[in-house]
Amino acid sequence: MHLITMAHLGEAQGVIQLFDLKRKSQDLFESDSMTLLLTGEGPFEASTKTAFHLGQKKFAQVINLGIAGSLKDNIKLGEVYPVRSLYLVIEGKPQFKTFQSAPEGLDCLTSFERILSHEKSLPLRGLGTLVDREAWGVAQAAKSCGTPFLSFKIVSDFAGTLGACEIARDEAFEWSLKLAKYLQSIVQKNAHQEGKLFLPGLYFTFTTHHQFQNLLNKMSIKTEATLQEVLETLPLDKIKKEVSLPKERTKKLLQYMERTLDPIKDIVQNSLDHWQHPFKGHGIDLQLDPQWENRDVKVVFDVKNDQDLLAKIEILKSLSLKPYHDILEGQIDVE
Amino acid sequence: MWNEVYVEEAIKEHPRVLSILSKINKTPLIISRYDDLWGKSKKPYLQKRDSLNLFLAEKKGQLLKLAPDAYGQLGGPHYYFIHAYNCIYECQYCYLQGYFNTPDIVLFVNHEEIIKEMQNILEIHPEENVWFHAGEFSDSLALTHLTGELELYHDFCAKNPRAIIELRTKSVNIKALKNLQPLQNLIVSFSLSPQKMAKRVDLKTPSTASRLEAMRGLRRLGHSIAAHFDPIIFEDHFKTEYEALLESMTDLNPHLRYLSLGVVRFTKDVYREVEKNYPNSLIHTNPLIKSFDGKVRYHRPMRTWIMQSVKEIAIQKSVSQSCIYLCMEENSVL
Repeated sequence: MHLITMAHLGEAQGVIQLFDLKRKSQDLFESDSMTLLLTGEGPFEASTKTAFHLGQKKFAQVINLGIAGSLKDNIKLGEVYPVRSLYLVIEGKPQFKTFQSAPEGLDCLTSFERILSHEKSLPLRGLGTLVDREAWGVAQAAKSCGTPFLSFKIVSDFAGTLGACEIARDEAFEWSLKLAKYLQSIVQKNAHQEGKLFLPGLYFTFTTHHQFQNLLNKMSIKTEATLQEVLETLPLDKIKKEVSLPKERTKKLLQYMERTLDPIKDIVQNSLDHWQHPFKGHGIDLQLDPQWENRDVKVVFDVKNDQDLLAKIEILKSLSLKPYHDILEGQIDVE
Repeated sequence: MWNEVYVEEAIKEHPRVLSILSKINKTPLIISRYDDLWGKSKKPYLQKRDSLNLFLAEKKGQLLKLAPDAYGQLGGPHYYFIHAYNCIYECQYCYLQGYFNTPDIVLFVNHEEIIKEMQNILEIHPEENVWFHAGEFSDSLALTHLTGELELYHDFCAKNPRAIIELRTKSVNIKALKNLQPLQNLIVSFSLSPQKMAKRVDLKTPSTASRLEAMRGLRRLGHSIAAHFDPIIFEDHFKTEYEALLESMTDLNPHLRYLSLGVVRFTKDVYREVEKNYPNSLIHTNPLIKSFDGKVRYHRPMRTWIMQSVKEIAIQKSVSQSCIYLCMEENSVL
């Protein structure tokens, strides 16, 4: 279910018609897959109303659509643009908090006041191309509710020019249809879901699947190969032959991938095991900083009696921390 | 290149401002103070790619800052001077992406005041050489064809042999330097990575080969040069790659005033930004941990091994051992 926010009924006509939305209250229209909220003008109003509705029901996404003015004259009027970043301007002063919408598009300033003078709009040009009255407020509400947010604007006029309001009124219905068609294309695009990777013979929990995807992605970046190409290099058949339980196979696969990405860790661990092993055999545990940052070693063992204690002390006489410290100082045999 | 250019009201007639504006051919917007706008809103770093603004301003407050320990070679105090904020390049590991709230560039034009402050610092340290580094918050040469301040700093070095200025760069913008008399105490240091790595992580910078060519150009004229292998980023064949890099600069190696080595590291905040801005960077494919000083790095055995390996290769390729130093690492590492 999408929550669509628009400022006024005039600009929302197209959406109401195209998606066959039914009026539920003065500001609310609905269908099975969409709710349209008319927020009114101004970021405070837009934020409050959006937050209220996000608190009533779970929405997959908030999409803000509407009319915006342009601060630059190289923008085509009547075109729909995705919004990239949203800034808030109060009394001509930019505010710190910004929100992101689409990864690419035009940056938009939401102004607390209407921008009526070209001169006043000039210093704001470095901040963004578009200026509206609501989007930042809607984005703020979406963000605070953890709902993904997108904004798209149709450019109505050059901010601060005379007669902008009249133009907007005259063109309202045509623009509203354009916005509606644009929205339709977005909603359709969102319907295409990404498929989840399936590896027969292995069992993934949510966590191990996430780990697997993450490691696969890293291997793909490192080797500059596609995910499919990396998948083909994984020794899946070998693991399946060696291990019978699907969960254990997954564990083995993840270990293999980690080793491939970080061969040094394995070498360091083997060297440390080699140093620790003789003592472990006598019940003496040499505990190290798990991050291998600290040079200190904690020696841990149980003693049953005085004789056992003397035996352990005797064994500890052969303990030297130098091998560990050498490893910390980079003395590792990688060749 | 510039989305908008802003100039502070007080310096709109400053000769350096007029000179910069004449070169960039863009009508400026006049504002009261650069920081009324710059950094006032959180602007995503990657927006520098298509909406980078330029601010021409006067630096107020602290013009020089004492550099942290292990910043440069031992001997004498180290300061860095602030001539600009932000950079035109886009290195994936750059700490600037988490440092300011905006990638927009500020060029400060009051270099005379910076130099006056350097003079004061020299007087505070009457018996020592004092290092002044440029390039902490911006590449120190990349925009000098616009800003034209090098002559002033050169003049300061010529008059003050105890002052050592380091110009840190990844650019090949050395035209202005070529017209200046070489000085022992004006060092141009180039950050270098093996070409393959530079191509993957030093976005929008000149190639390693071009940087080496710029070093050669300066060297031939007698200028002092240095190199930084910082950050070193691990990849399976990094030794072979550094061997090839050092081999390709064998003519320069004996002349390097210093070579600094540093393995890739981030503060937690910068690392978060790097993850956000470059989720598919090679940087994330290697294991990183929170290290002794809270910074995100490779684990200690790995980073010390990497540094030792590169140091050994450098010495084999005629870099003097005494001029190799470690940048921002614990002293005990090598």
